[in-house]
Amino acid sequence: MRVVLAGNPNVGKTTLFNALTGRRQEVANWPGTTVDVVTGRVPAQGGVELELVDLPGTYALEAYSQEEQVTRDFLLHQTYDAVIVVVDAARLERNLYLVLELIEYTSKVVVALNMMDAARREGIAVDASLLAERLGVPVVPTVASRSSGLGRLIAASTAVAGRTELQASTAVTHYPDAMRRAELEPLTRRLTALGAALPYRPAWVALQLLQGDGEIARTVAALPRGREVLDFARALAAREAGAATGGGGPQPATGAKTSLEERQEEFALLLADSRYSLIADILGACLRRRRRWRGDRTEAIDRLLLHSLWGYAIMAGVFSAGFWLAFVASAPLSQAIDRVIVRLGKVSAAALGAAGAPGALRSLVLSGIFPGVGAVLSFVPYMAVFFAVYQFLQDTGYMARASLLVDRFMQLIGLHGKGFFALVSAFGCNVPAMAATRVMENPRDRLLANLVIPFIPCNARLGVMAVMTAAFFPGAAGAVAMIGLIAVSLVILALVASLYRHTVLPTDPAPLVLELPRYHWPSLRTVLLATWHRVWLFLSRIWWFLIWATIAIWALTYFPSGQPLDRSYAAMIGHALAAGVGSHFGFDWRLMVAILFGFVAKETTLSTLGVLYGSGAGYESLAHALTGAMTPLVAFTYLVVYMLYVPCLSTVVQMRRESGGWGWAALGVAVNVVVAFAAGLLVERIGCLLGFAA
Amino acid sequence: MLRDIEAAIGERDSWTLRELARRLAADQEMVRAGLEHLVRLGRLPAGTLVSPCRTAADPGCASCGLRCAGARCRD
Repeated sequence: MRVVLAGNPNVGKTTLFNALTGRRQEVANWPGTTVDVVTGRVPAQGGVELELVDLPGTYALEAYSQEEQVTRDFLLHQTYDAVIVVVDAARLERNLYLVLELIEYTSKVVVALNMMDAARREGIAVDASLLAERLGVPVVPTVASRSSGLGRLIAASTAVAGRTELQASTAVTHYPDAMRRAELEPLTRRLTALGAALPYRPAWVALQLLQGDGEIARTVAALPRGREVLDFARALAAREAGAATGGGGPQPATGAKTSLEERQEEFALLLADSRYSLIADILGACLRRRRRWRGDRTEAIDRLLLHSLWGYAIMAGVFSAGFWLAFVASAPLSQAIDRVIVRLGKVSAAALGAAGAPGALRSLVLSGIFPGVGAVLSFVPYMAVFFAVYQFLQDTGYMARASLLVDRFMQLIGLHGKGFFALVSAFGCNVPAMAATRVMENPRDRLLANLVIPFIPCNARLGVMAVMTAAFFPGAAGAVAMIGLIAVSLVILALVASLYRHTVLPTDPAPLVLELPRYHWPSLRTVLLATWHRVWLFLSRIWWFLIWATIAIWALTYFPSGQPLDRSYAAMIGHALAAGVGSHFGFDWRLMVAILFGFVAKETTLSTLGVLYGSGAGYESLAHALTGAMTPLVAFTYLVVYMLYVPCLSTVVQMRRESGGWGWAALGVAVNVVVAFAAGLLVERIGCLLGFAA
Repeated sequence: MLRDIEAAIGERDSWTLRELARRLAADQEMVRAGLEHLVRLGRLPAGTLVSPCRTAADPGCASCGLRCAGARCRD
């Protein structure tokens, strides 16, 4: 006696198989595949031994993967005496579909209602007796992991196996009356007339033919008079297709094929719809779900946070508070680090002087290393608080809500909602954000997200922005300037995404159905660990770049030896750039050099500015040097350009990797440069018109 | 139900599972099953349904900000 175990993936089927067979197992490789089918022996009542076959998991009899094909082939072409369909008691909505299909296919079905313990923990109660009554097959509650219910399952399987297979349908699904009268019943009668030559139940074959099941069609066509029945099935479908398209007579060959396939797809959808309606009806009677208080609380909070008006107001408030914390409240920490670095610089200067170190070495340490590295370290507190706020919002579950609120706008500009996750993480670093776009299935959606991500300022750019806005716009005005800059970046991102979508990447974004997580209070440990992880990742990634870039910039500013800074190699490059481009924006040669060197790694920009402005170590002295060298309008314009222009080298390499070629990466870089300088020019002109030039 | 899901998504591209279930007057789990089936039939793109990561150490966590889209936790 052979009994087959079938079921969806992850329903505990293999656990049940192991519990039933113990060590009495062997692996059989199914012909033509690499998928294993495991068989085992189970002692049953009356000295009978069952051969149990564990089939690969499948969601339905229509196969979409190799595993599913193996299961379908076994069920359709092998002999067996009963099928145990294993279902997860907590996921019946999904699992009963296969049960309904198998009940249509064979009358020898037993349902193992498995994982009853997990269902109880989730507050789900299933009335197994009523379920058995509604399905018309035995339903046995089991907990395979505890070997519970196994005896009853074997007994039920043995009983079912002893019965004769019924040719008449035992299906419980109620298909639409019109379809039953017009297609199903006439076709079933014709199939029944084929007699015993037909290897399957006629009603099931009728369903398969109407859905365009090629394998079953070939089986029927090979039978005596089978071709006539097959033509009849196609005529039924084609008639419907003709009616649907408004054509009265037979369609031309190619057109008829397309219409026929469309109609067969419609049949498949209609059949599935009928089965899900029945599942909903059955579960409405057999399943009780305990309402969870936490779920109610989540819904109540969501009514406010996802409100079409208040939701956006609250989101603006939450993110404003987050930025305030990151860029204003963290300033004392940054200044404390500044003071330490300044003191270390003075100590080092004294030590090098006392040791009689050469002038170049003293210059490197005092004018290169300390200002460069010190300027970067001084904005670590900004970054740490920013990441902590970000992590806190993620852990509470709020970020998913923010994603949903923003998604509706993202759809308007042609970005997939999933892109928001990547865009938000781009505020940390553009490189992993681009990797995060891989969750989008459509390559065009992915490519579009990759092309616009560089418009999001990463933490390195945010650091420069924070230092400069704090220097030029003291107090709360700094937070307003930061929000203004980020708003500019988001507006430009939207415009550029829309431009791409309407020119080189014309596709509609895929739909999004988001299952929101429940709210919960994050643990301090998780927030701190994640923050530390990100800050350390940032520091460990940049130190190599930072040291070399600092040395290179120092060398370009120190040599030719003995010349003043404004006659150095860096100044020559900077003057050329300033004359060609910078003069339109009010940028001097030092700002242009910082822009140029920022391409290597944005993290080095502060160190470059520190060296070029000869500010010495620390944030306060750099801020002082910058405010003395340019107006707030020039600084703001510079930040707009800096925020939007070419992403760093690592990002360009990552963009190439994600887009599959240098072509898209080059396009992305070119668009960034053009957009950045155009936006900068616009800001500068508007600022001048409004009288901010002084 | 499958046709209703298709119709709702035809009207609007972005939904929460809860909103969609309420709209269809159906249980969320039924809607989830229906969405998965439509994806299997090829009538909706794969990845239409984005769920919190169920495999993370803390099943209730959203520390990945759903970046993993339910596929795996990247954090």
